[in-house]
Amino acid sequence: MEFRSCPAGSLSPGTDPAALRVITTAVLVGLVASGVALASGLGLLTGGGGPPPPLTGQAHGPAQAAGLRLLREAAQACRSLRYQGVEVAWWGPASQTGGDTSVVQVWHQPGGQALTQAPGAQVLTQTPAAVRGRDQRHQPVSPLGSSDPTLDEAGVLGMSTRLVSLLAANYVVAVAGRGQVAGRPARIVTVRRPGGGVAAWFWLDSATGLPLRKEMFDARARLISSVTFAEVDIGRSAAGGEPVPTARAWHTTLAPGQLARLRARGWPLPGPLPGDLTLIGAKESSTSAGPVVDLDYSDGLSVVSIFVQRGYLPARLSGWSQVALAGHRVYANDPDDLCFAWSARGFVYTLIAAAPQQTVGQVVLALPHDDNPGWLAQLKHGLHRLLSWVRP
Amino acid sequence: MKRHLGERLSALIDGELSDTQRERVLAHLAGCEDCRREAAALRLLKRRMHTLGEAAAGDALTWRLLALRPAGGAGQSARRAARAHRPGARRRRHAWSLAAAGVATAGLGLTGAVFLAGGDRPPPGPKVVPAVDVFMVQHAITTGQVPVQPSGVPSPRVSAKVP
Repeated sequence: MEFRSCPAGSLSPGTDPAALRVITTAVLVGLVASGVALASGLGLLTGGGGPPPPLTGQAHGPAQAAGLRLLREAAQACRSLRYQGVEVAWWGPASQTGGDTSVVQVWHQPGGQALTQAPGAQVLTQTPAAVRGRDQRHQPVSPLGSSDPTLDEAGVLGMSTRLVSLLAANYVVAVAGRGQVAGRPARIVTVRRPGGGVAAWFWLDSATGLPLRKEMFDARARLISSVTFAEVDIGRSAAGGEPVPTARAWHTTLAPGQLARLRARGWPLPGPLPGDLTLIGAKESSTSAGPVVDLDYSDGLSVVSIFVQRGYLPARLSGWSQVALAGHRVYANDPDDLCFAWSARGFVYTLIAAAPQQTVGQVVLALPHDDNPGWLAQLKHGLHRLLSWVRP
Repeated sequence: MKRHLGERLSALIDGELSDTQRERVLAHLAGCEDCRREAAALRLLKRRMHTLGEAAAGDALTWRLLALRPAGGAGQSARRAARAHRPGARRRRHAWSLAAAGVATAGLGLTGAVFLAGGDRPPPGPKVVPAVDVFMVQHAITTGQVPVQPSGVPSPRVSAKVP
């Protein structure tokens, strides 16, 4: 097994408590990565290893209701509890031959923002509390913000009431048993696809309902992501120490009517996407190259963000590589991150996904591309151009 | 049975007989009414032919005469040959060939020009480099999960390779 560590900022090991924390988390990263690798190799995470064996057949009725109730309580806990801890996230390709692991510290105040910070990095906000002005200390430096609770109330581990509703519509949920995460007893909720395959497992704190771990699987039941608390404090003991956020969600949300007007002006802003992805929010911001629209989609588990802006990509995109995806040539920022970009018909698309690769492929396939216009289209375009010369 | 002059009459009228032959022919004409009539007819024909002079039959007359010939391969071939050699037909055919070639060349040229004009489409709008760091922050906010930090932001990122 090979580990490659990147610089961790200007920390002073041995004297700075933050540095000690980083060292501790780095060790945890190694342990988690080793565990993921070992479990993947042995097939424990996709078969019947640590968590209880998957339910036979589809769970309906009381089992579904119980599972959904726990998930709704978890979404509520994400908003109402005070907690802080260290999360370890692993995102890997479907082949599970590699992947990236990140460690972040998390802070959350009741009704406030959930902040995640990679040691030495900027702070990301995760809830709209700052927008609502509940905690002036957390007002961002930038003019960004959001008034759309359906997007920003997504707390740690992707739990929110909106996502739970979508999850209930698209998956079969059941309580599967009990486990333990970061030394805390947890209830385990399984999420299955309508066809019966496992899609995700949630570990929810038995005492408070707070999500402690989430693992996602692709359509072939291969582990694609794991987010877990390596350590967590919940309640009064979790007070203080949180940083001031420097970025948050774009504040200009787009209502359905505004989206319709943009579509009428030629903006390609799709509604639902393949993979049962529902449009859960749309935001707009300005860049030096003009406005950019952020469309967010989810099926309750996966989240896909598509950023659309007018223009075209340069022939060479530094830091990106060209790859074939769903039969189209696109730029990949980092295939493991599932971040892709391409331009077509006067618009640039940047797709960032927390979703199985199969879902990403379906989405890419559903969006416009300019791969091969064909000789007839080229003739048509040339004719239009020549006519425009004759009759400008 | 009395023997008539036959071809010697034509030679007499054309002045092609020797003196001796002419004496004998004239002696025969003196005693033969039939030959005298034929000689008179030949003279008349020759006179009329002289009256016609060097005039030649026109194209229209020639074509009408050719058309009177019985239909058949030989006749048609002859018409075709004649048609091909008509000066006006050749000119018209040449003009049509030139026109067809011109139209074809112009069509191909125009098609090629249209094709080339449609090839290098000017990309509409500005040249854009995606602000992926900003976008990843927004995506992180949306997911509520802990994705890999945006590039350029220092973080204790670790890549794990599973053997």
